Amino acid sequence: MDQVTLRNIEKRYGDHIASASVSFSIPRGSIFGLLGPNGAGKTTLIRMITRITMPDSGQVLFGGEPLREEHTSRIGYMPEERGLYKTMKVYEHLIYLARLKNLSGTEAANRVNQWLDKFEIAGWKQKKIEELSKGMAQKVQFIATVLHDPDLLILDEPFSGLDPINAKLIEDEIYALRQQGKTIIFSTHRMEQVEDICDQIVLIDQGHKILEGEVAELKQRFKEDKYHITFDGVVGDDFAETFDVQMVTEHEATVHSRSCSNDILKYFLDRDITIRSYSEILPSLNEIFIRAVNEPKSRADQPTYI
Amino acid sequence: MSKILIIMQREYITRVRKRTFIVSTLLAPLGFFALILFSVLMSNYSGGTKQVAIYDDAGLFSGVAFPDAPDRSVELHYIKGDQTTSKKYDAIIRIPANYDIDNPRKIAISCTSDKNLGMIASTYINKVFSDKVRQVRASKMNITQDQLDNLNTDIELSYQKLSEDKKKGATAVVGMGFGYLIGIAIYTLLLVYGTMIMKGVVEEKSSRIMEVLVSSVKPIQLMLGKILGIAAVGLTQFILWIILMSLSVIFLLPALGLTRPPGGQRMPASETMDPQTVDQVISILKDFHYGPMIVVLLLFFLGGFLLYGSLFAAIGAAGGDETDSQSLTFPVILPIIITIAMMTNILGQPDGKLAFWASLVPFSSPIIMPSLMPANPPLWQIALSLILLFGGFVVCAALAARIYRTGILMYGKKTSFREIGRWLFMKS
Repeated sequence: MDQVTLRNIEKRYGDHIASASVSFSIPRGSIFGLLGPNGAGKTTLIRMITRITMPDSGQVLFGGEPLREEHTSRIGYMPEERGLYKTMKVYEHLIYLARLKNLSGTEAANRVNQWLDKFEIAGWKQKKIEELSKGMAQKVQFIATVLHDPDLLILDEPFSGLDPINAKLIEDEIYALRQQGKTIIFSTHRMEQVEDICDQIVLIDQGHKILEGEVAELKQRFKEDKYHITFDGVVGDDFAETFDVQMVTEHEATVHSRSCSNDILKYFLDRDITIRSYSEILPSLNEIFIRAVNEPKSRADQPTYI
Repeated sequence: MSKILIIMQREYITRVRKRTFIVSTLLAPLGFFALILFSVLMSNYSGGTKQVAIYDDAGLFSGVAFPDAPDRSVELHYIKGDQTTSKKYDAIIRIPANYDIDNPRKIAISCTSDKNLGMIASTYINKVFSDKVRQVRASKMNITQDQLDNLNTDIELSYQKLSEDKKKGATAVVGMGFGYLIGIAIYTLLLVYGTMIMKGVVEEKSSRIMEVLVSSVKPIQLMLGKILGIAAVGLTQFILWIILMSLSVIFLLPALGLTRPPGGQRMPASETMDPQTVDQVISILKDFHYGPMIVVLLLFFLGGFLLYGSLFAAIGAAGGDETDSQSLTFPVILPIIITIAMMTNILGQPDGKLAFWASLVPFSSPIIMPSLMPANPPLWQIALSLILLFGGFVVCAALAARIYRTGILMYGKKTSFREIGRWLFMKS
């Protein structure tokens, strides 16, 4: 079951194409990476999912139904350009945002207290937002996003400005929410951040979908059959003759092999060289992205593209 | 609707509990009270009676009476011949022996102390001396005092309309003044609170809370909630001012025994106005129908506030920051300024054509209609004006919302009027 489905979403601002017939689906209960460089059109897509703007054409489905106004109270959105009222106090600010998401006064108060306790920041209640550090404000902002227990959580660059400890806190929270069956859209231009977190990704560039799929599957698709081996001992000249060696030093080597990779291991075993480690080199999402952008044929469905 | 209420509540509460709001709400009536107190005190403050000696070496004014000033600010002592100078006088006026009454020069007034005589005393002495010189010269020319008085008759023009009695004529004049005050008050409130709306929107943009909010509420809800919330702040302050000022007039002034100057003395400010006029003005003011006037005032204030507020909100949304928005405010402020510029004309002829049209056009009616109220405009005119005003608000708000919803999501770009024009025609 898909939480969100985009069907041929088009959006133009004047001559600028912000979204060119983009389609993809986000499975319920998954962490979904919406990736692409700055200005790729990620925020435009998010704004259409949150009904902040409307597509020129195409359709957004929410839980299988065409997206309606009522759905917005089931979405939690933490925008990249985020902020809070500087002169409001933490507690009243969270209550305010919760009530705008249709929570009753008492319900809002309960949830706010729960979350403040959970993040161990109940002592900040009466602090003004302007007195908080950037990281502290980010925590408050995250709470504001999840207060109304949304089915869909959209986080735009959630880690920017966070120290590693707080980033970990948020990351754990994201996993916990997925555990509860929530769907999380994770938008970022820093792909290394999401490699381990996301189940699925879609890559966007200049308003076009470049590729999509499960992270593991994409890595397989874009792998270059390279293996990395570290060892104790010396390899002979025949090593370079036998294999397509990309790099070799005294203790490590990188080998390209289309055939069975066990041959490489066998070479070392036969010569009694101690293997310390052996692994297949999989491309990072960053590398996949760069390659995908440079391969125009992968965008066969966008003939008008420059 | 309930979301608009929640937004309104926040806008209202965060502003009303601000120190600046509390201080300005309390200080303004206090300032008003201090002003009254000051002027009353000033008028009562004689600074002691100045003793002025007149040494008439020429003996020209013997037999002429020099009256003391009615407010006892100056006592004149006529001393003939050369008596010894005494220190008991604050100032000495010497008329030299060779003084030529047919060719009067300035009479030297020398002060015995460092202190100046002060404006009121000097003015009084000047007046007395010109009177006396004229009197002496007149008697030399064999003109009697009666003939002189005859020449000096003051002429007082009383303005009244042909078909109306005197009271009505005076009512028109007082009504004009009163209407002008109302107009200026609304003008000030529109500008002050309109700017507050604009700043509020700019703040939401620059603090980046806007995008958080618009994922929960529609931009139009956000805009209306803000305008209504700030309108409520304005009304609160307005009403508190009226209450506090009335209280200070009703309780504080009598407590200090300062409502009326003590008998025999008159305020300098009312020197030019005789007491009858003052009483007449008061009785006219008492006769105004304050109930309907206040209702109309509040309705038009609200309507005007909604109309201009939505425009100010749009401007705030279009600009990237405060200076940016400030430069876009001109077209919004312009109709307000034109209205104020026309006001003297309009109130001078409250049943004229200009007054009629200005009271109907939604951009000027919030200021003009309430200020025409003392002139008792027909009910249908008020009703029509109100309908047009709220209709104008709906149109303006719809246009403003288009600018608003696009503007609030634009960052880091300077907005031109052309661009704003494009937003108006953009699909949602």
